[in-house]
Amino acid sequence: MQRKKSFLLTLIMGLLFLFMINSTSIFAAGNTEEDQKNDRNRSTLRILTSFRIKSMNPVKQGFWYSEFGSAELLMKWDRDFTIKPWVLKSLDQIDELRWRLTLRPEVKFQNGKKLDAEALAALMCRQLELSPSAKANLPGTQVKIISEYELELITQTPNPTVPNILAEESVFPIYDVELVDSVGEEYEKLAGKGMFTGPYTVVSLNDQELILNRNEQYWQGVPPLSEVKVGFVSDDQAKMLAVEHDEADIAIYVPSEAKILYQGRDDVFFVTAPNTREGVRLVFNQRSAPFNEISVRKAFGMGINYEVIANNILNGVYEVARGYYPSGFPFSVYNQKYDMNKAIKTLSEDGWKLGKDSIRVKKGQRLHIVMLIYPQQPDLVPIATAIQAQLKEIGFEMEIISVDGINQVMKEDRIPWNCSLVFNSAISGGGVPQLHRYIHSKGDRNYGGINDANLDALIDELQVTFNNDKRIELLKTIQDLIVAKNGYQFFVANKLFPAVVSKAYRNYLPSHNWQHVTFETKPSE
Amino acid sequence: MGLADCHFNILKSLGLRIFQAVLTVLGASVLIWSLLPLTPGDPALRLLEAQGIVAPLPQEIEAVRHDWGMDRPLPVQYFQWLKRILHGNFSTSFQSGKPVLNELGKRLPCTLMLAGIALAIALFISISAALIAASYEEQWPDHLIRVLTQISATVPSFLMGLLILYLVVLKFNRGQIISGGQFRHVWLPALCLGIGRSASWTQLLRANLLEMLSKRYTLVAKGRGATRLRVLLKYALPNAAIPFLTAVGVGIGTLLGGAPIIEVIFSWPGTGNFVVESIAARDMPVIQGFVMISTIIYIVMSFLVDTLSELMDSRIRIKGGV
Repeated sequence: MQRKKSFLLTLIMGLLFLFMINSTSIFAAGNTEEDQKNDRNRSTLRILTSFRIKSMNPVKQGFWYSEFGSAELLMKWDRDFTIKPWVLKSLDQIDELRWRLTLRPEVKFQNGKKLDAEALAALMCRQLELSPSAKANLPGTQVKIISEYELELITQTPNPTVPNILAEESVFPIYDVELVDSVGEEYEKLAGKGMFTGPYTVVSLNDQELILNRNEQYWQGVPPLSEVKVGFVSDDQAKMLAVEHDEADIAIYVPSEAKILYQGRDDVFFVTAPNTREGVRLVFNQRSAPFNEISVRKAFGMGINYEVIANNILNGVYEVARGYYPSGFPFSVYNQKYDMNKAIKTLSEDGWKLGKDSIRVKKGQRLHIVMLIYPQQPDLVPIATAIQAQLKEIGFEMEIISVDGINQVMKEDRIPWNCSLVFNSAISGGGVPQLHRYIHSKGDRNYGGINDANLDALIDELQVTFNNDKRIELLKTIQDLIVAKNGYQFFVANKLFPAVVSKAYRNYLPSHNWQHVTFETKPSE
Repeated sequence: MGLADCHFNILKSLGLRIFQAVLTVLGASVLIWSLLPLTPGDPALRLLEAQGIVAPLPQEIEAVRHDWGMDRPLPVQYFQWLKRILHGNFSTSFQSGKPVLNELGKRLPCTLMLAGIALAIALFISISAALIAASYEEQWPDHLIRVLTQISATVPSFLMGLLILYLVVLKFNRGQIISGGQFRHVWLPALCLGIGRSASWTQLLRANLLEMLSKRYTLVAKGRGATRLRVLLKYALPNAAIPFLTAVGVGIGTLLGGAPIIEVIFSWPGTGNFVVESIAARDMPVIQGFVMISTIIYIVMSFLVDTLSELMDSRIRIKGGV
């Protein structure tokens, strides 16, 4: 009797379990497979990103739309790191203050209206009034209409980086001002109205996804994809699993360590951009010992094995840092390399002797370093740990502290710190803005206290030099002063933008400029 | 004790509980409000950065500080914040610039759907498993259930979520990785939440049932020839349910507060997922609003459960509260 009851019980439990699993699958699987099949038939690109696009307000969120193939810019960063006209036909410098912008007559908004000088002038004036990026990059700039497709940009002060500024995604994303003004603050009404000029038109935006349809009237031709679905998924694992499960074609903002997971797979691939504008900056606090000594800074820089960090620790997802700028820039100088023996010699000659515990000491002071990192960039942990291990070999004792709000901590010296690792999101403006902010003695992010009058003068000169050869010469001299001569700052590794892609997109090339979806984006087969 | 005394005891106990609940909410509000001034970094700078202003000018930072009342003494700031909360104004999100209450309210239906189904699953699993375990005390079904509840009680929810995704979705090709807030995709995250929640409830209910089964009235029922199932369902279960309901009530409060980790893993667009996103962006008004609302829900649920228990159990009623 008891056995019968047990058997019956087991049977009921088993059936219940099967029912639960099955009910899940019946509800979930059927429609999903159909949706996926429909997506494939319609040549839909499904791309997942970590960051939610919060609205269709082009001033605050317009930059996202240029990343996903809806908005366009006046100029663009090409893959070879040159700046070329995009929506513009040409950009010509008239004198030190005036620039002639000539539009392509064939460019139209997705709603069919033409993009002429009047429409562009309205956009530029609106952005210069409302956009913090436009205001900060081109303060006091005026716009003058010359003809139907020509206008002049008149800057307040000489600015040789205007072409770079026009290629920045948050400065002038091209949109129809008249249309945007007509909806007031109700930006959601802009969906489906064709406010931009790009190959894909926004049809809907909600908290889960952005849906874009092909712009049949696109000025460069008919876009290859009928639809683009941009999903917002904050969890990295979920994004990658979705590609594995054929719920997405491309996942961006994926962790570097994922590269190992997909090695040897033939259904899902880990791909990286061929070059980069992003890197990890090593900042020294030069207002206090020991980094107030040039020899210690230089030894620290020489003691880091940049190749091991990029290729072994970060699995090749980073480019080896060889100088102050990533290798793609035409003005990059390779003046930084690992040389342990030279580092040891530099320290020894400067009086830093090895103590009993293999940590160097000078006049009773131990070579103890506090390095700050921050949790928002997980790659900083393996980088800092590798540096800690490598520098221990030459007699540095390093303590790593992860802090929240690292800029504020450094700025206000909230805790005693000697150096920090900070992610530099994108080197823009021909490298000038970062020199002004991080290196110039008056720079708002010169937290380490670099104060070099010679360097300041060179940076100031660069700011007003238009001749390209002269600019490159100045930039090379500046790099020599920053890295080789003074060891003011180093870049430890430069991140190549990664993505996890399905077999259909195995030839997808991530962009060094965050142009994730473009007119050229299409399946590999 | 007369009926009037009994009513007086209930009212006294009720008053005391309301007073305690208000005090707890006030205490929690101080802690929650202090999240903003105590978090490293300048909140005015963070607000501007969250709006996409990369390098705000000092004048812009000062203007924000003034507009948000951050330039006033801390106690003044606290009382102004509390006043706004009491008027239902939970401030605006740093990121979106929209009222926090609207932002959370927009995602509440998804959280309610998930919480409701997870609750149903948890109740189903825990009641049936506890009944089976109590019915087969110290036999293999009991052992099996105890082992399974121990495992599910100790496995962290993120691990269970990833395991379910890997096994059910990837290996057996059932369900979706990206749930997207649709009803047909709620089952996996709900199952994950429900299993996690049911573990402690099963253990609690099983222990209570066994205790009731050893009481004299159940022995008498057995002696009169009642079957074990009848004894369990009719005599033991109603009496064992009071502590169980207390745990369930508190559990509902937690579920309604959202399940951030599960929502993130299954890309479920509820309040929990939104809060994780806000934490990453250091969107303090949203974090404060969410924690404050969750605290209030939790306290209200505890209050309701305690009151309900008191009304259900004559011993508690007569003694004037636990």
